[in-house]
Amino acid sequence: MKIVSTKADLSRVIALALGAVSTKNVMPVLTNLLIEARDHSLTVTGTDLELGVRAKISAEVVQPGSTALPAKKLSELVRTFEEGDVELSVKDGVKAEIRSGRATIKLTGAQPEDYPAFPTLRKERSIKIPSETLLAMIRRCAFSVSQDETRYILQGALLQGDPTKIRMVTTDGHRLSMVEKDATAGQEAVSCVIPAKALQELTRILEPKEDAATLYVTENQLFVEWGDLAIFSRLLDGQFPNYDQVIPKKNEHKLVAETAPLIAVLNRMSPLAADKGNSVKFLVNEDGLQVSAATAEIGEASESVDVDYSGPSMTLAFNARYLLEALKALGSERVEIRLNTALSPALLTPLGSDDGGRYVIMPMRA
Amino acid sequence: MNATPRSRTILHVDMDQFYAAVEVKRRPELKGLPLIVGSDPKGGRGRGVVSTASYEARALGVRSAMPISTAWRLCPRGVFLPVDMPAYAAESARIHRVFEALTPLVEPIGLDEAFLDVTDSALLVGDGEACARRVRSDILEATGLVCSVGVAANKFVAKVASDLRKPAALVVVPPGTEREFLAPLDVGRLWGVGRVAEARLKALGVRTIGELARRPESDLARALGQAAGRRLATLARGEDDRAVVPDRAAVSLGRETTFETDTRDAESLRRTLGELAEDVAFRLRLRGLACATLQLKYRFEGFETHTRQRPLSPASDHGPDLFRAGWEELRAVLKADARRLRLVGLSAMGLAPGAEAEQGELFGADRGRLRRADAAMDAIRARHGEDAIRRGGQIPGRERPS
Repeated sequence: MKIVSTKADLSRVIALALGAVSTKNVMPVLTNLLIEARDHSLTVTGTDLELGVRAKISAEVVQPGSTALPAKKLSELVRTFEEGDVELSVKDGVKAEIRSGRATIKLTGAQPEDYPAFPTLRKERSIKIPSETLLAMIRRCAFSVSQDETRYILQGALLQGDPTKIRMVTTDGHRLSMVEKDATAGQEAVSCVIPAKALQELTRILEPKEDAATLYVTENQLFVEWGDLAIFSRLLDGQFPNYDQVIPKKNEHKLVAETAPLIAVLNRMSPLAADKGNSVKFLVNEDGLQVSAATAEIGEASESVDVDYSGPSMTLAFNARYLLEALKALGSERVEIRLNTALSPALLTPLGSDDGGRYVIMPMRA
Repeated sequence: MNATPRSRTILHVDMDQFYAAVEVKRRPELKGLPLIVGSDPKGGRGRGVVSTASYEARALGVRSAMPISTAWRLCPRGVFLPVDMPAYAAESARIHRVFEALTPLVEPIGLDEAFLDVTDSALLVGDGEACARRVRSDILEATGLVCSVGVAANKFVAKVASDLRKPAALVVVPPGTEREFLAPLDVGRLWGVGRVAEARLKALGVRTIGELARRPESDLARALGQAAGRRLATLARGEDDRAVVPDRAAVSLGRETTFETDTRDAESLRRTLGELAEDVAFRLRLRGLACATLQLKYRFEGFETHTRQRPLSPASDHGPDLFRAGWEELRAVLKADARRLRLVGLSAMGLAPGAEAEQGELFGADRGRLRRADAAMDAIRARHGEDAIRRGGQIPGRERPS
């Protein structure tokens, strides 16, 4: 094979596919990127079998063909090239020669036939969603995916589409994040659990644009197409908990606060909350909100926050990190925190600009 | 020739490509690929060795204990995985519960092998072959993993038998046929015959175990020394009187109760199960552990014994949680089988570190109140003994639904 491309194009497409190349525990052949040249385009694929990224650019194809070249080395090399044309030619499938400026680089790769095929999906159920919307949904809830390996199904995000809504939900059993957006017309019903790693890869690869990404969902795989990019990921297999049942419907005591000052206060309390599971205390009554934290033999801190509150006096404790992450994800100027009792879940919703995010946090026992 | 009063029945159970099989179970997408579990290959420059290779990798020449760099070279499409001991140990614990359901005489060898003396199980389960079939299917059911089993009158012959036709093999050597079974096999299969001894024996013209058995012991003593010579001669005749020595190290925390009279009375079963659950939970709390998988053991009238498992999520050290899980299982048993029960037992398996701090659970009960009650009961038990306090009625299934 032989192609002519540019440093800019090549390094971009290599960087995209490189994210799917695992640095450990892989088949030797998977330390490579699959490079295919045909029909005026160059396709670069990386995968660790659970997840794969395929990126395409147009290039001058002198002679079609394919090869598999060491991913890391290739990426390191191309990054150092001077701007301008890069010529890549390959003999016998494995002997590559790259020319950039006055440099000539020879790389030995693997046989492209040894590279696992990118899955072709039966494009059954799909949803279309602008990439900027998808990215916003991921950003608004990826943080509360469970890190607990024993809670397998919680290590991903539930994606649900019905004719009117698209919903993404994550929970680690202590808190829950949900983002809801309007569906595009003709939306099909889908439901799947996307592994955290795939969410991370999507945020790395997609750019926030109005162009719709198409998400195809089969029984065990997700396949995302966005322009010249294709991503596949294994789906998590199992029953996602009934999230709706833990979203409080009858929390009557509303606390309204400015988001930024509340974040600042929580940040100040956090260092002294470090010990007991990050616990900060909320004392809330008609006078306002008093936030405090204490670590035995180290110190304590407290600060009052201006809030609107008209419910009964209550003392609650929260994991400060859970609150901070939710408040940051809300992205609104003000927040409404709906409370019921000191030991029942609190519901955080944005006030002002509503980006569809809902956050449920289970308090700690004070 | 043999002073043993009666013949024994020994199983040697050997899990097939154990580490690799556990990995495939976790990541089904690896199925059928050449799998190499071992140290980090570091792109072919790693210095460690292969722990286990799947059959697909073995077909390409990869062997256990081979340098990982060699495996990397042999197997460009191989999947290289690090050794995940906790995962293998967890499966191993499940496998040992299967063994223990069959006989208390279990001698584990590492995580993936064990000798079982099933002489006394013969009356209840059947002969050695029946026990072997039971072990194989129960392990498959409990873990999804495949093993090979050798059945013989002693440990040595059972071990040779299990290894003969791996994977998924069941090889029975009927008592009295040990010698002819061993005769055609390579002397290298004898315990204690390493490369040096094998070379010496081959120099004597001894290639098979049969040839060795026909040699006078004095020839062997000259070549290998008195003690080794005698030992090999004994083994070559298919004799081995070492007992199966059970390992008492606990892999789980369990309690069981045998009823005074066989019963299917729901109330009495609930009560007993509730007590067992409280006992197990108390032991868990004492050790700061929680139960992630609960095992129910039940024995029918007539002594037929089974186990069923149920995962607990989140892991728990709270008696009523253990009771509820156990009772669900027991109820299914009573529904499916009309026989009366002679024994029920509960074991906490898949032990996890104890309940975490104070964070509330979204998808669960209000644990705080329950935890305080547990702590109060534990304090009383610690001072006055385990029977000093019981939960009211000891019928936790009737507690307020949470």
